[in-house]
Amino acid sequence: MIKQCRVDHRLLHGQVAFSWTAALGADCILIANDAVMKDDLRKTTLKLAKPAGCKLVIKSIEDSIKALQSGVTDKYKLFIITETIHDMHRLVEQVPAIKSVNLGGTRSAADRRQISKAVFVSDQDCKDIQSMLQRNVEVEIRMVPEDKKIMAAEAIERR
Amino acid sequence: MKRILFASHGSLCEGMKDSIAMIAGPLAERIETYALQPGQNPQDMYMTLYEQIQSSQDKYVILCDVLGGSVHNALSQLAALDNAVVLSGMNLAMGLDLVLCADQPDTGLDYYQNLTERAKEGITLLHEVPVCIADEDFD
Repeated sequence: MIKQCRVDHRLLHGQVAFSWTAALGADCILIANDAVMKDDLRKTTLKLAKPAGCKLVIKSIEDSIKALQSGVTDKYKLFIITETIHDMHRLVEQVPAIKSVNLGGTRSAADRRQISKAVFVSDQDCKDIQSMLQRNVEVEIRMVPEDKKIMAAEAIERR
Repeated sequence: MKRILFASHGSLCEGMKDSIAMIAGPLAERIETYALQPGQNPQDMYMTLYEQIQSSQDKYVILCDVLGGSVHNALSQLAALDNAVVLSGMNLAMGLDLVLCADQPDTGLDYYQNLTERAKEGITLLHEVPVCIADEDFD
């Protein structure tokens, strides 16, 4: 069962590892990312950050979709993390079980505008968010589980 | 209800609360800090807390900065009370653990014993980063 999907450019770090897995009662974290899969050193540091009692699976976006579609993930209380909104959109397009997406943090850049304390979006990100909303997927912004949800559509409109 | 107290020489306890807030958000608000300032006597801090805890129905967990320091020396006397436990060796992992698990029902002595074990495991030395940790997959 998918407990939560989150976009966070830092992938697995203190905030995610402690706060979210505890609040969700997650027993497995899936990091869906093409670059990390090919980077042994980065993979190792992520494994070191893994919370105790939690499985950590790292897969490319393509392989993540295959695993999620195949049913092998059904028995886990799954917490899925992608680095970018675009990667999450790729998952949402292929995995109808995803009903909600949390935006935790994205990189700032010249072509991105800030829509919350830690979330910066490009025009493409806005299109991807729009597309997810059209599929009736909730897209909300929170840093930690206890924060109040801010709906991404409203945040984009305000800025 | 459980009360979480951080006590330290100077403002370490306040900084620790600030760092926990960055990770655990509003959960950190319940942390009560006791920063011993120059010229203050830790025994006075102990007396104040003793009166408070003794007359309270709440359970108290007191996390002190360092074993053998005057803050812990004084506050460790609180462990004589039924409704108080005292921990030393404050670090971010311990503080987070306390805050995130504060309202779980099973927080007896075993929990605190495990907490100190987990905290010790969190102290590591890396030299050449090992790249030999096996990949995990869905079973």
